[in-house]
Amino acid sequence: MLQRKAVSTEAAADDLAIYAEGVRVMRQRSERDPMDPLGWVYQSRIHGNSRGEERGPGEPVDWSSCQHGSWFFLPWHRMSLLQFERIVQVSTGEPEWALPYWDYPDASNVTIPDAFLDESSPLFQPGRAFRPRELAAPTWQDSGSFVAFGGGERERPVHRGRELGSVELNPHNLVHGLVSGDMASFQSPLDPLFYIHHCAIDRFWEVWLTLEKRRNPDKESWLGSSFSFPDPEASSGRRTLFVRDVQTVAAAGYSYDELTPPPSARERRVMARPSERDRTGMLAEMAPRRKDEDLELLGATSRGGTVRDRAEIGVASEALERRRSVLADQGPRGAEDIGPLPLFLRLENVGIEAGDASSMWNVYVQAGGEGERHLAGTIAPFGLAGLTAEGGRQTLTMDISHLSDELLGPAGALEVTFEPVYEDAEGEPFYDRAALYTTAE
Amino acid sequence: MPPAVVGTRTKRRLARRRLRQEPEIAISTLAFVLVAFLLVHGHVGASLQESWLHGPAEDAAMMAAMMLPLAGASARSVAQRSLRSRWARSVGEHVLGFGAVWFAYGIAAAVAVRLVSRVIDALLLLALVLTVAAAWQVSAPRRRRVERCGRLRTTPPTGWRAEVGSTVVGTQQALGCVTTCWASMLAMVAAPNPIVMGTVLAANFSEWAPGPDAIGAARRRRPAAVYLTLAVGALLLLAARPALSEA
Repeated sequence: MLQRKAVSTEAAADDLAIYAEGVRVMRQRSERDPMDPLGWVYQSRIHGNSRGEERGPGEPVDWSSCQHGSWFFLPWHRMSLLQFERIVQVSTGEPEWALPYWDYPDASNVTIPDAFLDESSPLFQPGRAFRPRELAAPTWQDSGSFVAFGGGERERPVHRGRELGSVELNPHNLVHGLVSGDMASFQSPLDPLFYIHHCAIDRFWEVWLTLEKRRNPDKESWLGSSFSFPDPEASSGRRTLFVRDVQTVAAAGYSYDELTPPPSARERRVMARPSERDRTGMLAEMAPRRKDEDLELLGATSRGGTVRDRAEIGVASEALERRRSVLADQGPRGAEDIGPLPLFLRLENVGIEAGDASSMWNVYVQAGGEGERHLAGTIAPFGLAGLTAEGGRQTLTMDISHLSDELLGPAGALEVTFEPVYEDAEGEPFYDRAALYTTAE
Repeated sequence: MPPAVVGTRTKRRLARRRLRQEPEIAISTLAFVLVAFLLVHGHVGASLQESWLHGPAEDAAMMAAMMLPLAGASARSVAQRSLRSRWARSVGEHVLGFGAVWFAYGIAAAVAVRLVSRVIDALLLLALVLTVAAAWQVSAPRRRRVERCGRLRTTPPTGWRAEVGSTVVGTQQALGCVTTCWASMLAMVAAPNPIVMGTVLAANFSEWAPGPDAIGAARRRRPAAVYLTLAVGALLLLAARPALSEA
């Protein structure tokens, strides 16, 4: 079984060299024939076009077919990596080669591996303007359901869906935005960093499955959906894969060298503030017990706004008290056992007129406009400008459960503010409504 | 230790909760009852001329009832985006707005079909409408509209704007559906009997059913093929009619 290794380790050095050779061969194929399905450029167009728009008239049917903003995001990209791996294996004559993964811990601690910075290497891509920044911490490990983690449920696949899962929002979109250049567009596979980045996201899926009570969907609309990709060995030139064939790495026929889960947002917070440990009990008792696919509204803004505005969300105290009392009834030791109330900030129907994923904005929350301001999330509008131009919008959900004790105090309102990550951000996201949710009964 | 027994009260509470959280169940039941009532009532299957006086309203009611299940998913989203105290109301208001648009379109379609059927043969009209439906089914503008299906506007959480908002969202949702599926629904109105009507509806819904064929091009083409087959069938019937009459 093939094993994918961390790109920063010595063990991955040979794999990186073969990767570079594979990229060189694929680039050559595209230079000879831009429509060669096994060429570098064609492969990038399977993912999408630089505008992030729908497939144009007359373009091959498999162009612009990547899946984002729905529960097909993870399986489609896993299939795409598998097929890319086969192309490199055949192109280089290295059937045992496995794609290395980018082992960044989170988006605030990303460094581009040296091999990708060498301008003489095929792994180099011009146009990157990598400027590391402090961004929101990921919360994917806290997502209790697949739809919260991997994207909203859809009856059928969609190129650009509306409900991003926590792992797509952060770190997926953020790393696309941080690297910038081609990586910030929907034609991001032009940059060789794309494949090791998506290998990291693919590994997070497998790590998530090792966590307690995490499961893939069992619905046929997910398992029974299929996607077709160019294949270097199939007699038809194409290979069709079903989601059920790739729902775990074992099923797909490979493994990762390491699957240690990162600490949850609450664990990180307790580690940073030891006094909280006394207040809330042992870490072991703080594992999330929620089923976060069904959410209940606690309050919302009465109108939309842009990232230049302050948004104030009034919290319905009745809903809050009732939900707290229900949770207290469910805990074996009553209210003492429930921990913080699950809390989600949602920006609904987000759009942007211009800019790519590097037009990032940090989202801050503050109780009643007073006290400490907390970084709740980062918006990296990956492919959103193209979607907006065609009338679409996205809903972004940020898990702020670890802040709920502070935010849901006596103020009865929550203030949401935004700041650009880079001052030269090209676009300004707007939204129909900012809302606060908890989990439904 | 005896096995845990779920009491009747608990079962009822769970059932009520499921109904509240999954309004699709109540909406589909309502649609089924309405369709059954209209079928039993006997309007469907009458000739266009027979049903001229009272037909359009019943055709429109049938169309609205058949399309109601499509409001299920959006009603669920609308409820989830409303405060709990407004869940049931927001679903009702949403369905009202959704059904009203389809009813209005149904009236317009039924009247138009009846007017045109006065000057051309009903079978020829059906073949024409089905051909238009097939062409629209695979067209690029429709594909773009399908992409937008399911985009829901948000509403304020409280006050009169919340009440009006749920109805407006239902109306907008239905308008999106009408501009996507107007042609196949027109074919349903022009259909002479429940079998053709049911075939058109099944072909339409097959595009949305779960299963393989991810990219969806074949899914879009399949209903178009059904519409064209029915159109050819209608033309063949039209051509064979004199012979059948003589026989």
